[in-house]
Parts: sequence; structure tokens; C-alpha cells
Amino acid sequence: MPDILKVGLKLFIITAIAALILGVTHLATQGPIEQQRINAANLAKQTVLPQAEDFNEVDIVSEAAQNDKAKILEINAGMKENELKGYTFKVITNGYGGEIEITVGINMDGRVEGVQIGEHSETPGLGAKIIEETFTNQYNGKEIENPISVTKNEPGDQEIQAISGATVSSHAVNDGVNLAAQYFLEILQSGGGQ
Amino acid sequence: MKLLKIIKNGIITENPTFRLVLGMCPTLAVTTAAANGIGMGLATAFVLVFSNLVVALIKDFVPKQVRIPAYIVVAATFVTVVDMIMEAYVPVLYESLGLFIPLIVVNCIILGRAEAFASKNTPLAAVADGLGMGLGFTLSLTLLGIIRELLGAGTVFGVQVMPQSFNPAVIMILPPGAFITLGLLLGLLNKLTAKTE
Repeated sequence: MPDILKVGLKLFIITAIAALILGVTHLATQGPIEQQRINAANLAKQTVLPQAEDFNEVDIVSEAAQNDKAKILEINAGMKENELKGYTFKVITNGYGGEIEITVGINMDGRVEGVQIGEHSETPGLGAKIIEETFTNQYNGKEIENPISVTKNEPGDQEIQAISGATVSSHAVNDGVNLAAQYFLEILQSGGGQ
Repeated sequence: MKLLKIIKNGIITENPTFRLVLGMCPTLAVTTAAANGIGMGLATAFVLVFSNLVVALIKDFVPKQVRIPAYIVVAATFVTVVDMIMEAYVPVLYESLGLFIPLIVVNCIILGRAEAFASKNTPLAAVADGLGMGLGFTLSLTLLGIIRELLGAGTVFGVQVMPQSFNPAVIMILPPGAFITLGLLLGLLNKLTAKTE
């Protein structure tokens, strides 16, 4: 047998064994991985809307789900024992370093229940502080009747305090929360989403 | 005794980061915090031990013309298997290390040790080399992470150690800080070892 065929055959055997190992592992882990991803997604929703236990995805009315600063990607109705407790919104907004993914929970009283930051690429040590609870917890319990604004000073009722040195990132998060609030007021509160 | 010497060789004498200067991409990229350094280091050490073992086991079977692709296949297969199993069964660990795992495939330490050591030695010695190199890599990355986190964020392993009045030098946890820290440490270690030789 010519040398090149022998070498090729041996390499083929090695890659075939590797492919077999990968295929078997994939089959064995496919189910658990799927389950873990669902759990993780539910956990994020439950963090921002702790009253609810089950989440059902709601159709998005396209024209209200987007403005020039942010865009709603996914809305879920949070239920507990067949009672509607509120909605969670997955929103994308433009930060300083790129897109920021935010999950916002709004309850049926029209108050923000929680805000959590997902993937982002803000500057470490500055804009990246938006993920810290000292920042996101400022939204907890805020009324959404009027838009929430960002201030550099001591925040009032309808205000949250910006992270110093990261005004752009703070505003980006706020834009996302306000878009979710606006959508809730316009479409969902009256029962239009059901 | 010989095995201990191989391990010590990886940690000190031929430390992959400060002596061989291998695997610079992950070294510079992930050492923004001490915990990241440990995570990346241990994940790499784990893969290095097993890829060294497999390479040493199949060294007589692999034709020397195609040894590089064969070693890459071994490392990539192992990394992918670890990645899938971790995501499926230890999601907590996967959440903190998940980002680093795929990066290990392109870490040249894996290929470097396969070529320079594992393919010429017994499986046992290859495992010892993987362990030593892996630990050496972990220690170097943790050291870099500690220095950068301390100066750039005022914390070590997430715990505030600098006084509140300390104004962190954010550049240290940005990419330039990685080059500055690595350069100064390399210089310092060269100076220290030059005296003892």
C-alpha cells in the first residue's frame, strides 16, 4: 500500500474514533442540556417576577415593541395557580460597548418587580457595574405610570441614580426598562395581550 | 522522584507563562480577576493532563507526517466532551467556566506539550508533565489576576481590600493592563533568576 494511503487511513481512523466519542456524548447529554437551558431561562424570569411560577410566552405586537433606543425580544406572562401575576420582558438596548440584554418584570399593579442584566459588553469597572444589585435594585417597586428618569444626584421617586462614570450604560438600561413599561401600559394592562 | 522533577519542571523551571511564554491569548484575555485566572488555569490543567495521556498512549500508532492534526483532534475532542458534560450535569461550574472551555482548544500549551513531551515519553511521565504545566499555568494566571484585580478594581477574589478612598486604575483590567503587568512580571522574574544562576 502506498505510504500516503496508509497515513491517510490512520488519520481517518483517529478522526472516526473522535467523531464516534463526540456523537455518543452528544446523545447522552442532549436531554439534560436542554433541560438546564430551560431551567436557567425560567430562573431569570423568576428572579424579576418572584410571585409567578409558570411562564407562558405571549405574542408581541410589533409596532409597540420597538423604539429607536431599545427593542423587546420576548414577553412572558407570569402565572401562579392560573392567576396572572405580571409579565417579564426580555429587552435589548444599546450600551456603551454594544448591546445590553435586560430582563424586566412588571406586576399587575403597574410596578417594576425586578430588573436583571444578561449579556453585555460594557467597560469592566465602569459600565459593567450595571449588573450589580445596588444599581438594578433601584428599580424594585418603582411605579411605571410615568417614565423613569436617570439622575446623577440623589434620586427622587421616579428617578434612579446613574453609575458614576457610566452615564451611557445607566441610560441604556433605563431606556430598556421604560420601553417594557410603555408596552405594558399600552398593550398588556388592559388585557390586550391575552 | 523523576515524576516529581517533571512536575516541578512545569511549575517553576519551565513555567509555561513566564519561561516558555506559551498560551498568551488566554493569559492576556482572562486575567481581569483572580477568580478568572484560577478557573482558566484549572480547566486547562485538566484538559492538558488527559490530552497528554492520550497522546502518549497513541504515539506509536500516529504517523509522524500527520501528528499535528491528530493531536489537535485529540485535544478538541476532549475539550468538547468536557464542555458538553459540564453543561449537562454541573451547570453552576459551567456558568463560571463555560466561557473559557472552548478557548482551551486553541491554547498552544496543549499542542506544545503534546509535541515536545507527551509524544516522546511514557504515559505516566506525560501525565506528570500535564499536571506540572497545568499547575504552573494556573499559578501564573492567578498571580496576574490578583495584581490586575487589586490595582484595577481594589478587590482580590471579589473581596474589597483597598480602602474606600482608593481610586482604582481601570486601565489595569482593560487589555493594556494585561500587557503592562505581564511585561513587568517577566522582567522582574528574569532579573531575580539571573542572579541565582
